[in-house]
Amino acid sequence: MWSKLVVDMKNLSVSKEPFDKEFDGLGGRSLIAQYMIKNVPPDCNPLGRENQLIVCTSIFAGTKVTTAHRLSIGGKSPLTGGIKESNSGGFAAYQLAGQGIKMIAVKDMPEQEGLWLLYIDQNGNASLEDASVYKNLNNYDFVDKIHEKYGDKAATISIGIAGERLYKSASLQISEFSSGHPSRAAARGGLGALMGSKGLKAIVIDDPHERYKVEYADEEKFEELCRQFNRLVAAGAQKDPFHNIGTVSTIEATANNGILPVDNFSGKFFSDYREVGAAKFMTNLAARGGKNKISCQPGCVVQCSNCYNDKDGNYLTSGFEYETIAIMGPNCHISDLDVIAQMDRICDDMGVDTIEMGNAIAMCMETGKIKWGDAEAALALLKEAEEGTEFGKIMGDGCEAVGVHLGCKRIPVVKHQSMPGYDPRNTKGTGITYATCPQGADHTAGLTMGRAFDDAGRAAQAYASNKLQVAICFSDSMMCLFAFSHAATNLPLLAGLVSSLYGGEPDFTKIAMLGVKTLLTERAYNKMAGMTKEDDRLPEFFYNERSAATGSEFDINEYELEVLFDF
Amino acid sequence: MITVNGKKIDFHAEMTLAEAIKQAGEVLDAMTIVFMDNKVLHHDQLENERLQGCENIKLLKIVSGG
Ligand code: SF4
Repeated sequence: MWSKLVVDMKNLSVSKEPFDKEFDGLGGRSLIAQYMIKNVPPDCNPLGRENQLIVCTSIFAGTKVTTAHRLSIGGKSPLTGGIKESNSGGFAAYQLAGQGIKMIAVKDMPEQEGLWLLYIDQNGNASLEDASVYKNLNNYDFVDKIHEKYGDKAATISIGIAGERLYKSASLQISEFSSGHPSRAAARGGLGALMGSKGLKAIVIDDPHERYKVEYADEEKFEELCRQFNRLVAAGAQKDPFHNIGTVSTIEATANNGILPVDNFSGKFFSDYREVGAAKFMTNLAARGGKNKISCQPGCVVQCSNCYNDKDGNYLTSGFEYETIAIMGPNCHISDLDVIAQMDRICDDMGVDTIEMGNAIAMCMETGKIKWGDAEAALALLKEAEEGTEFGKIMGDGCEAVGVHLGCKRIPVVKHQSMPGYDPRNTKGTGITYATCPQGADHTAGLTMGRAFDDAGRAAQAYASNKLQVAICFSDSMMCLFAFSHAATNLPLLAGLVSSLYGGEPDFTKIAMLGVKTLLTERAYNKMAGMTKEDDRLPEFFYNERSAATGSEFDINEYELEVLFDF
Repeated sequence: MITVNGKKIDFHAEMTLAEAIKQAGEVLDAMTIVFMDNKVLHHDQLENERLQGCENIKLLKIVSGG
């Protein structure tokens, strides 16, 4: 039977309990939604005693389903003030599943100053250890020390200085399977600050002596379907640019369609996009001994991750992704891939969301605090955040905090969370997702780009956003989105996997309903947290400024947004 | 031998990448990336890119954002 760890930070105790029967069959985003609505008061202070940090694995955790070991982090978001599920790859979910742990709930707050680390040893015993020696340490140094102490197979979920300082853009960094680097991030929504508020520096999961054996309703059937499923995803991956190149390949499509954000979502075309695109990326990898086709978690057949080296061939960063490149690059008019890689490394190290930081830098450029494209000044701003100067602390609270502080009129946020790398005027279905998604402006919540909807009418785009938001809710409960995008061609296979694992007849409707229920639960939570329909809108400038690249504006009206969830 | 998305193509001297793609019956759109022997080529380079006769060409469709 799966277990749940309950970590009480007030009493500094850990208890291991059977995983709640009422949540059986849930995982990832669906589990976080149902757990939170029952256990985390929507009106609580995100950095107060009543909020909980939830760490959980997916519906398929412990099985051989490719990318099943996605890690979900949840809680009331310090950034959005609403429900938050932020998921990541890396090694931690695999090791948690090996320990038979489905979920960790971190409750309350310490009574005295201090810093702790939750350690799960090789026999599955969990305890809180004093971590004051790691105070003010950033993620790379921290993980080095942990690997020295416990060995390379210990997986880590940690915060850097940003989480310790309770920055609203603070991430949790997860060590990557292949390299051990803390380069995978549950970045969005400031959940690193929630972890910091609990006095928790890290969760370290040691390599279990004996791996937990999952109980199947029909193991033989599951294994057969799992082989089919993994073959399907592997075949799709062969034709997938994310496998062959990496997510940076998205630049080629967004730049040419006016979707790539340029100069704080100005809607302009970025003529230097090739300097930060796939061709340059591949050339640099080849010339410097870098690598792509890396699995961030065991058993991934899509392998979208990478290792990016500097000009001298030394490791600079890994998991170097499109979102980071788009927002820290063209959106800040920076066209030097190496500088963007440096920025990525600094953000992973101190533990902040690259999207929030990139947009915060763009706020500084838009208001003239620094010049457009000034890479040195951008790096200096990140250093300020790391050092905790007065302005650095504002940077740490993300795009909106900086924009408001500097009096910027064009602040690209929804529910206080800044936009990822897609201009909503030229991918309107994505704009609808940004506006209405309970998670705030989010690139993983229902991106319609590239699905032929952008040329279709408004109704088609609302339809696409709605369907994808539901689909993502169940995909985020099961596996990595990039594997799911190939699996979506055979939904009965997915239903067969669920039924042979948990029992019952294979029924895809049940899976779809899980997505609908998750989405509606999240919306209900946000409503109880005080959000209104006004929070389901894009910033004004997307409605009244045309994209210079295409002439398009975001013309989806209030009614169209409001009826989106009338299922 | 030249392959385009796994399909074998007859090679002739001076053949360009654009010709090979056309011969394979493939049509490019803005969401397609041309990937040849681990190199990414932009659409405006295809007419001038001469082939040697042993290239492995993949046309990769962006299906979701990254
Ligand atoms: S596709 Fe990429 S992000 Fe997803 S599990 Fe594989 S390596 Fe990780």
